[in-house]
Amino acid sequence: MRPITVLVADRRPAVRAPSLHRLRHDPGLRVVGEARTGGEIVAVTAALKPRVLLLGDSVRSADLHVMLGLVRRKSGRTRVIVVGHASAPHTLVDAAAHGAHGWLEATDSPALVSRAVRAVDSGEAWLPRHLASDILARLQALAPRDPVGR
Amino acid sequence: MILIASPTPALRTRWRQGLHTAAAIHEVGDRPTLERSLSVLKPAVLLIDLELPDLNPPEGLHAVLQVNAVTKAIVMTGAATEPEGVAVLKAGARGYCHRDLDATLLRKAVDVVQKGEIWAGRTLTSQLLEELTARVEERDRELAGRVTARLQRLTRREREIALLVGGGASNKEIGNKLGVTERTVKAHLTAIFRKLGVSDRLRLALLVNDHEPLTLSS
Repeated sequence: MRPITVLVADRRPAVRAPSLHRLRHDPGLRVVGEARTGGEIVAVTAALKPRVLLLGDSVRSADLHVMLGLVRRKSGRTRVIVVGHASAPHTLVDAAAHGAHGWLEATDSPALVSRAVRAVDSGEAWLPRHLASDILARLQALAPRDPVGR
Repeated sequence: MILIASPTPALRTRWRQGLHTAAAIHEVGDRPTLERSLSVLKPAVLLIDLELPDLNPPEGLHAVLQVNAVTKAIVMTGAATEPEGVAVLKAGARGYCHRDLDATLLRKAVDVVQKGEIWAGRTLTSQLLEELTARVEERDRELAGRVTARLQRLTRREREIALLVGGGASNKEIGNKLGVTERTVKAHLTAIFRKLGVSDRLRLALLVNDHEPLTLSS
């Protein structure tokens, strides 16, 4: 089984460090690079096409959404986990709507990072369970005249 | 009050016994009685068997769930599949599970939907997410299509900045690269947004990427 390639991106070394430490000690995962700024994150993701991108929320939300949109266009198979700080539910749903597949809090235990990477890589969403309701509501709001999605 | 709707008496009995609740339980076996009960009794939760005659999911299910706005419905199916799960959730159900769900989980499902949450498998959430992202992208692309012609109205400097936003750069990064202040970048961006009729940098970035090559020479 080939290891899951991961790119760790955040402008703050202190935020990257715990994730990097955990990921480097997990034989099933391989850190292929680090990136700091917006332009660098997009360029490195496009070049390395990691299976999972751990993306810090150190940019304002509009920039985060830009980044998610660009990553989706430049490396469509990369699954993205946003690493946030005391995030409000609408922030998570917004990020999910723009292409994030998972959300971790910076305070989550390192063991969760490995689990989340594996989960999103296998096609699951790694989000708090209660968010499913908000995601469904957002989906229905986008299609008011087509409630059953035909 | 919990309403149970299934054409199979044995299933209704099993669910009623499994719920083991102090709440009142009412049972129905056909669609007309179900609709009357939903309208009159306004139960907190509805357990509804997908095999109910004339239910015709998802359209018919959607119509049934529109009868009142308070009841949270859990759809019970004989063979759970992701497409069916997504369809019933989009039709208004708050839960989706197998008919043979054990009593403990059935009670948990009822608790979860009563709290306003969704009871469905993790992979279903992932499916909903994919669909949401696709819808948002579709909306962005429609918008992009409408403003294509407007790209020609940008000045050379504005194009330069639009391209950098399209590459994911922040205002600060753009300012550093072009040797101008962040304030000047913001002023250019305001002009770009106005000319293109877009509301924010996300739309601009996606627009630039959807219309490559947007070049400085043209």
